Formats: sequence, C-alpha cells, structure tokens
Amino acid sequence: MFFYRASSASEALEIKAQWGGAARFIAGGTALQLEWDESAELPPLIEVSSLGNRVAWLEQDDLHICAFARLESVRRDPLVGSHAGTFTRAIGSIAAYGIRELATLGGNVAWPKGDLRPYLIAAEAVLITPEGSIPVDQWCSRSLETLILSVRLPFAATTVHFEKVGYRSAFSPSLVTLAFRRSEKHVRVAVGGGRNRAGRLRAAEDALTSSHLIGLTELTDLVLSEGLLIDDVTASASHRAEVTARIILGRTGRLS
Amino acid sequence: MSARSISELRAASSPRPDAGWKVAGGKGFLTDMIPDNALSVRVWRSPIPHGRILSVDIRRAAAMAGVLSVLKASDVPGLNGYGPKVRDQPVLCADRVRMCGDPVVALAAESPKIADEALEAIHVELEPLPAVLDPASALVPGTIAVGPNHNLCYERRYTRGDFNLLTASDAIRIADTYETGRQLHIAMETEGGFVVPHPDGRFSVHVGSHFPHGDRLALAAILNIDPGRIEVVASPMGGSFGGKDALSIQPILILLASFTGRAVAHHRTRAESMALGETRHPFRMFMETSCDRSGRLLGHRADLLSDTGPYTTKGPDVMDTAFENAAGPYAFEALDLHARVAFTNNGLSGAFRGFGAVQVQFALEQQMDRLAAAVGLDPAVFREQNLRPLHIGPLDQVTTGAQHPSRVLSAISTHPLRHRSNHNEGGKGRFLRGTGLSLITKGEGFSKGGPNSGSLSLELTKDGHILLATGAVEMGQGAIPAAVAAVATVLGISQTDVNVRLGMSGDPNAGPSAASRVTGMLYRGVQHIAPLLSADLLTAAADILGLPVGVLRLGNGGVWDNSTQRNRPSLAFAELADALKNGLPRREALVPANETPSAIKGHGDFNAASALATVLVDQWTGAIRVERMAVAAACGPVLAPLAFAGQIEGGAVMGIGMALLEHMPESAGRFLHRNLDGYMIPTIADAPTVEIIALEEIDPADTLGPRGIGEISINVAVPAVANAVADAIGVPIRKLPIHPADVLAALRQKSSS
Repeated sequence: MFFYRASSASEALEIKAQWGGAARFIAGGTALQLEWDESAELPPLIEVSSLGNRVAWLEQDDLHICAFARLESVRRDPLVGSHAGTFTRAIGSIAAYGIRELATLGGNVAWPKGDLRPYLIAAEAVLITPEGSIPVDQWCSRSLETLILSVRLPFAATTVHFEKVGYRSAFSPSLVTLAFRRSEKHVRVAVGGGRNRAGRLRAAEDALTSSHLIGLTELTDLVLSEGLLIDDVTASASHRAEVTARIILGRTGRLS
Repeated sequence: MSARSISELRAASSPRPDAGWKVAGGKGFLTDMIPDNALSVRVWRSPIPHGRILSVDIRRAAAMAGVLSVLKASDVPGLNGYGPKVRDQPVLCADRVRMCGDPVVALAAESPKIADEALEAIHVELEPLPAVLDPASALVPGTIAVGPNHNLCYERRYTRGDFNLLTASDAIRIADTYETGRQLHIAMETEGGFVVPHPDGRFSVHVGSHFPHGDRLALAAILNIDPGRIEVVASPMGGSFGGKDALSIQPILILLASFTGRAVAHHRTRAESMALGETRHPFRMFMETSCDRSGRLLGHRADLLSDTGPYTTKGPDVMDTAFENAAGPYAFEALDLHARVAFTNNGLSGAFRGFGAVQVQFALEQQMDRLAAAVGLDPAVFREQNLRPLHIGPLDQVTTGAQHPSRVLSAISTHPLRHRSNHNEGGKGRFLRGTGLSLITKGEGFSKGGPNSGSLSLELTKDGHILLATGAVEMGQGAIPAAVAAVATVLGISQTDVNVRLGMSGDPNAGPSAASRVTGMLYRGVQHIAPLLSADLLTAAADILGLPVGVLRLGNGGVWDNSTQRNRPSLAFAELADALKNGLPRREALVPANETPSAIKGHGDFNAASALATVLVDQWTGAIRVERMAVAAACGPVLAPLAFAGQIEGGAVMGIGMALLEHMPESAGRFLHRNLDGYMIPTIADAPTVEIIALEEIDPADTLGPRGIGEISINVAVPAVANAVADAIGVPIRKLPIHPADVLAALRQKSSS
C-alpha cells in the first residue's frame, strides 16, 4: 500500500503526477471509506490534510476558505459565520457531526456526491488551484486532476437557500440537494447530491428570473429537462425534480 | 383498572442482567466465538431465479491444495431438505435452482483465499427456465410450477353469514386493495456461527436460532444420524426478529463438518444476509367491508395473497395468522375470508415480528377509519361500538383468556395527543399534521396445533444459585430478564440469586422462541415448579438447621428463619448446596399448551393494544416524520419493566420502518439493495417519543399471568402511522411503505380535484 503525507501542494501534485491517474488525494478519507467494501485494494494515497494553516480569511473583501479545513472547523469559524451565515448553516445540515470533524471542504467539493457543490454553484464560488481560478460549476462539469487550495465566496453575504433532502431524518444519502440565490438581476439555481450530477438549472433560472408566474408542473419540467437528476430504484428523476420545484416555489412563497 | 406509565415502569426496574457486555460491545454472541482453526466455507449459488441444472463440475476445485471438501446434492447422506414443517428447501439443489442464491455446491478450505479460488474453479451449467415473479400470475393455470406440482403453497377459506349485507342498498361499503412490502429483519448480528465435530461422532452446532431442539432434529435428518449425536447452542443472538427462525447456514456447516472432520465456520456478510435471508412476506389484500348508517359493521370480505418464494418456509403459518386477524377485534354479521400463499422465484419470505397479522391490521384499520369517516363517527367510537364479545375469537372460536380491547381503546381515545391535530404546521404551510389511531388484538403463541407447550427445569447449583434452564433463546428480546424476574418473583428471592441457561438442546425443550410465547411459557412453568423446588430446599434446610420446615422461608440469598429477627439468611444457598451430599434438588416441568377448545386453527388467548401516532407530512418533499406515539398494551402484569419498554419502543420504531422507509426493490428475482446505504432503516433521529401505558390488570379467573410483548407493538404501530398519514393528506393509504412520491401524487390529486 502506498501512503504519502505531502508537505506542500506542489509536492502533492508532483507525487500525483508520478502515479498518473491512479493515485488519489486523501484528507478526511470519509468519502474514500465508502468505497473500501467494494474494492479489494486501496489506490495509492497522497495525504493533504495538513496543507492549510488557517480556516478563513478576507482578501479584497471576498471571503476565502481553506480547502483543507475540516467541515466542522469551517462551520464553527467566526469569520465564516459573520460573513456567510447561510454557508455555516448549510454545513450544519449535511453529514453527521463525526463525519464533519474529519471531512474537509475541498474533499466535499472534489467528491462528485459532495452536498456543498450546489451551494457553491449557486453562490458563484470560485476554486483556487495551482492552475488558477476555476468557477465551481465548471469544476463540477469536468473531471480535473488538480488540487483545490481554497474556495472564494464573492457574494458571501447574500442569502443562499440550501436544502439537502434525504430518505430519512439523519445519516442518509441525498435524494436531491439544491441551492438557489436571488440577486437583483437573476436567480441562480443548482442541484446535486448523491448520484445526481451537480450543476446549474439554467432553464429554471431563466423562468424564475423572468416576471411571469411559474407553476409547479412547469418548473418541475424545467428542472427535469436539465438532465442532471438520476432515475434509480430509490426515486425517479421526476420525483427528484418535483421535490426541487416544490422547495424553490415553497421558499419563495409561490407554492399554492 | 390499573395503568402504569413508562416512567413508573422504569423506576421499578433494575438493569438487564445481559446489559453490561452488550452496551460495552463485549464478546458474547456465538459469532464472536468462532474458533481460529475453523475451515472457511463458500457456496456456489445460482445467479438466476429459475433454471435446470445441466452439469456440475467440481473436479478442479476438489483437486486444489488446501481444499478439504467440495460437496454436491448427491453427497447429502440423509434428507436433502429442511423447513419448519414442510422440508422442501434443499441443502444443495440437485436438478433445479428456484431462486437467486439457491445453493448448488458447498466447499470447505483452509483459508478464505483458498476457498474463494476454489469457488471460482467450480463450473455449473444452468438452463434458464421462465421465472415466476408475480404471486398472482403464479396462480394462473398453465404457469410453470415452482413448487412440486403447482404454485399454490397454501389456501384457506372461512365464511359465515349472509353476504347480501355487503351490498344492501342502504349499506355503506368500502372496497379496496392494499399492499405491503418486503421488509428485512436487519439484525445487528448477521447469520453465522460454527460447527465442531467431536471424535466420538457428536457434533456441536453453535449458530443462533429460535429452536435448538427443532434444529437438532432437522440436522440429524440431513446427516441421517441419531439426533442425540447433535448438540445445538443457539443463544445468545445479536437480534433476529424472526430472521434466524429458520435454518440458514447450519445444514451446509454440519455437512461440511461431517465430511472434513474439522470445525467449520461461516458468518454472512451484510450483503449475503440481505440477499439470502428470509424477509417479511409481501401481501396483497383485497378488502370489502360494510356498515349500516349508524356505523354498525355488517359484512367483511378479505382476499389475501402472499408471496413465500420458492419454498414453503413459514408461509402457511404466517398466512394463518393473517387470516385470523383479517377480521380484527370486530363483530361482523357476515364474514368471507379467503387466503392463498403463492410459490414464486423471488427470494424467501419467512417469519418476521408481526407475523402476517401486521399486514392485514394495516389494511383493516384503514377500512375502519374510512367507514367511520363515511358515517361521521369518531374512529374510537366507531371501533368501540363494533367490538366482538370478549370470549369469542375472530374465527368464532372460544377463547381461554383475553385482554379486553375496550380498555386499551379507552386509554388511547381519551389521550391528550388525539386533540393536537392541526392540519397546518411549521409555517408557510409546509407541513401537514395528522393523527392516527389503531386497535388490534394479537394471539399469544402459535395457533391451535402449536407447538405451544414447553419444558424447563429449575435447580440449586453448587455455586449457590437457582438455575433456570430451558431451550428458549435470548435474541435481544429479553428472555433473560424475563426468566430472572419470573424466578425471583415467584420464589421471593433476589434477582442476583438467579442464573439462567438458555438456548441449549441438552436442556428441556421449550419449543420455538417465537410468536411472543417465551415470557408466558417461562412464567407459567416457573409458577408450576417453583413451589416444588422451594419445598425441596426448605425440607433440606430444615434438616440441616434442625428446625421445623414451618418456620423457614426462601428469601434474598438463601433460607430465612421466620422465628428470629436476623437480617440475613440462616443458610445461604451456597451453604445449602455445600451441605447436600446426595445431589442437588432439581425440578422439571412441562408447560401445557394453552389453546382454544374449538376445532379451528386459531388462537385461544388474545392480548390487546391500541396506539396513537401523530405525523408531520412535508408537502414540499413528501417526507413523513412520526412526531409522537402513545401505545396502550394489555398483556397482563409486567414482569421485566425495562425489557417491556424496550420491546414496545423497538417494535414501534420497526413499525415506522415498515410503514415509511423500508423498501426492497426487486428485478428479475434479485433484491437490488445490497447494504444499508440503500436499504433505509430508521435511525434514532426517526424515532418519536413513545409513551407507554401498561394495562396490567387481568381477570381474576385468568391463571395465565404475564403475556409476551415481543410483537404487539409493531402490530399496533404500523396501522396507527398509516392512519395518521391518511388523516394528514386526506387520501387513503393503499401501499406500504409509503413512498414520498406517492404522498406528492396524492397532494397533486387533491389540489386538482
């Protein structure tokens, strides 16, 4: 078994390059742990959790959060709490306390099932990597081999509506996780969670931005049309879409 | 009438004797004790639901180093079949496979790795046959037979009265079809254990089960040996809920132990347990029920169909219980009951807490609420006015003991929770609240014909304890605390003076630990033999102390002298045991079956329970949360309060799982969830506060004492939750578990109408 504790981001990337695509970055290891029952052997692991030294900071008025910070540290951080209260609450609504004590922000964003992806897409967050800045929705739409160093939240103070819908009250995979944010000019909506693909719901955004009154069936169809929600034995894509539409309309006081 | 609340029960309790190691995660279950040198077992199982076995080639596997034995059906020395009554489930399939996972070849090897490689080397050629996956289609003439000749495993009918009442012009009639799903037991400890062959030809079988004496007979038939050569240790288990009622890995383990002469072991992974274990029987139930304008019940028709999988298992017994409970505690002028159990190529169904009754109780209690609403009566009033006379059972049999349903109904119908119903909660109209009430009765033990009798022994042991020994098993349900409490209460000694030894086939045969029968059986047995053992002990003590027997009594720690003021026993149990040179006193008793005198397959004794549930339905997601529950149970005096409370609370949460969460999707005879990431069971966050009301008073003429409490709470919780959801969304519930998508569909339908 190969396990290497990297002392810098550049070293981590160097080791990763030596192993090619086979190696995996590991921080909290909570997502990787879910795969252990399935595979006989672990991939080569490059440990990166000690690469950060502070949780959050302000840079040109934007809130930055270290990607290597544990979710629970981010949730308890006073700077995050005062600048991005809805993000603090969003973290509190995902994963169990014990998982949040291990899992990192970067790990959650890098993981396809990460529940914070929709939040960060709706918040127009940007990932800072050694290869430059990448908007979260771009990151989610293609697979990248680089390392996330920090997350920039440009509109930290604006309210992001966020909800993870599970199958039971706690310790549940996501049926759908969604987030939306209204600015003066537009509405930005994103979904993800579980095996759904994380991404923006552009058709729904357009409809919600325009002044016409949108009904449940219409919004459900628009959510579904994006093709991000999966159909499986636990729930149909149309059910996931209807839940998404109901929450958006409900939270904006438009569900009759 | 006395009613004790849970807090009073808890205040009166001492910790369970088995609490320590269980809470600490210590080793105590049989699968914790698998010997290091035990051989690894692998089984070649069918990947298809139905097929003909064309050839089986084990030569490569058998020739591998480290492989000790590779066995086919032709190697089974005795009966290649087992089952609780009908022994139609093969140890190893000979000519056909009838479900995914049916075993064809079993092997034992020195290590898991070698066993895996040997398994890979086995070649079985199967010719697929049409798979019978729907129980209704299974019964259509011309369908390929899964069973020996056809697919009708069991059928039963009962009719009484004039059915024109159902369709009388002024009658109010509700007719609908209800369905319940395939719930899995999900015991903490999966099936497993080990078998050790001894040089003298005996076998020790250490595998959790409900009936060590029955296992011994079945395994002896498979090996074609005298049952006396097999000793079964079946207890304690880390949960069962019926999932370890049937034999699972024992037949293959003992076969391999017999061929190799070595200890063999297997402990199923969660995925194996979920794919191969028995499940709750899925039911389809048509019910048609009528009442007059005043709300008096007239006629009731029920047509029940269950899917037992390819082998009989407990299919007929589960259906008998469903059949008997299809009329509930209610009086009907006319009854028409029809039940069928179908063979299919789906996985096995079998015993499960609630045992057929819970399925029909869900459907019947929906019918009662719908009729009550149709005539404008309060659901409790409607039920109260339709109760059957106490000493007549649901199939018109004479009962020998019964707890009156009106008492539990009265405790629940006046409960403050009933009047909390407020249909719009949580702000912005997101949540709908509903309240549901249920009323059920539950037969104690098995139906007439049993096995309902059981034996136990009570003795003084050398270490100064009173030992109760019986084949009844501890599976987490509280047999140990119930046994300790029964002995201590009846003998008037301390619980620390009592030891129990459970689950061994060498001890008296208790019959199966199932059907909520253990507590009652233990108590009645102890009540019968404790005075005899007490007399033996006091006579011996009188002799030793040189005192008349009349001044002596048993008390904490030993034999006390009533004629003195001493604050300790005159002779401690250990001193008494030391002094007895010619053997220690021991008494054994057979507890006779308590069955209905009527010539009908039904129960003789019924307990009663009523429950209230309040739920919040999320109109945005369709999710349902049970907020609060209250359960009133009349099961006789409470013997072990903590175990009693644990059973009520645990059953209620398991009922929430059945009603709201636990769904096993299937495709082509295969269960699609492999682990608990997909198959959702309730967590502590899904558990509501459960208020427990114990109505302990029994009829002065009732000699049966405390009854079992293992199942009744799931029976009563499921219909209460379903009725609460129907109340919240204003639409009947026809299918369990209630999927959030169905809730949203109902809300859409309601808003458009």
